[in-house]
Amino acid sequence: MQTVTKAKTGNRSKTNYVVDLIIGISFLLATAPNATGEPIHEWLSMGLLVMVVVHLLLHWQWIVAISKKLFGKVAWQQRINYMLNIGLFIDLTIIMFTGVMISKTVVPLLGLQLPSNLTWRSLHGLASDVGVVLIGLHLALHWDWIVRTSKRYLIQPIVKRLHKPATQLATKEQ
Amino acid sequence: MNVLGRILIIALAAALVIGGLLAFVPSNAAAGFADGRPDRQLTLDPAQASGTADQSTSAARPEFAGRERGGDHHEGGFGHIIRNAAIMTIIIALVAFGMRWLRRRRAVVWL
Ligand code: HEM
Ligand code: HEM
Repeated sequence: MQTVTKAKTGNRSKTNYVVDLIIGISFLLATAPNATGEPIHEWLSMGLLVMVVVHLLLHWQWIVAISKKLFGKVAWQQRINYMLNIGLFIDLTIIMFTGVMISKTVVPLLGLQLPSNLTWRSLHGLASDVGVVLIGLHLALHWDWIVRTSKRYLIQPIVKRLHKPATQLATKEQ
Repeated sequence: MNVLGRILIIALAAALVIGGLLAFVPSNAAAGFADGRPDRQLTLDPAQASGTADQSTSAARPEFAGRERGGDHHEGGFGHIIRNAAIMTIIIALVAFGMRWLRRRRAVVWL
């Protein structure tokens, strides 16, 4: 699964980790517009849109590699991954498009007035609920990577920092 | 240029999805909203208040067949974040650890 990124330097997975953390948290916040307020909901989601594109660009090699051999010899797990990612892409696109269609902040700012349509509104909510499930599955399929990378870039740095004074003392005494 | 080309491909894929959506949705949505979105009914008609009106066919909000859906946006408070995080956690627990379990038992060969 991670063979493509693994070949690169460790920095790549750190970049991935930061991006994934940002989109994960942003998505959760975006599913609760009444918690953030409507204007923040819209701007946050616009930022999320950009970050998802970055996420895809970071995984471009994987996308190309699996696309090429989707009907050939490829592990079933990768194939399932691929289908799920296509579903995710479609769902996120629907969320973003319907969001723009019902926008009260971003689109009016551009001087545009769209006719209100309850269909977009309910589709927006529905696609967002579907997204919760799909992203849950997406994360589940990468759970080992998430645990491994969290240890490396989140837990270990914190532990190291907590132990720093002691090690510094030790080196001074020597 | 390379990155721009990739972004263009992503945009085209998104346009394809949106095109498909537009091809499907308005055709059936238009039927219910031919005259635009109905105004919200904020007060009860006398007949509704006395219970003599048939709520299910009330013309006040045809999109809900008279059933009140509960405000325009009552959904999505902080509780929503907790709820959605919980749903994701359950899915991850079931799928990620379910897969691990199946793999260990070699129940599904290709996992
Ligand atoms: C439009 C929505 C999304 C699409 C199309 C998408 C697509 C992809 C692709 C193609 C990969 C690499 C291939 C693979 O191993 O499956 C990947 C990996 C990953 N994605 Fe997403 N993704 C989306 C949203 C998200 C979100 C919202 C998160 C939330 C945190 C996320 C987290 C991850 C993680 C943790 C990985 C694996 C680790 C890594 O190498 O970065 N993705 N995604
Ligand atoms: C991943 C991105 C997004 C998610 C998960 C999301 C999720 C949601 C949810 C769950 C609701 C409440 C729906 C309901 O009550 O039935 C909502 C409402 C709304 N969303 Fe989004 N949304 C996203 C992106 C966007 C974008 C990009 C825009 C516009 C640019 C937008 C504009 C709106 C508006 C205007 C409302 C109505 C808010 C209100 O009536 O107060 N959303 N969104």
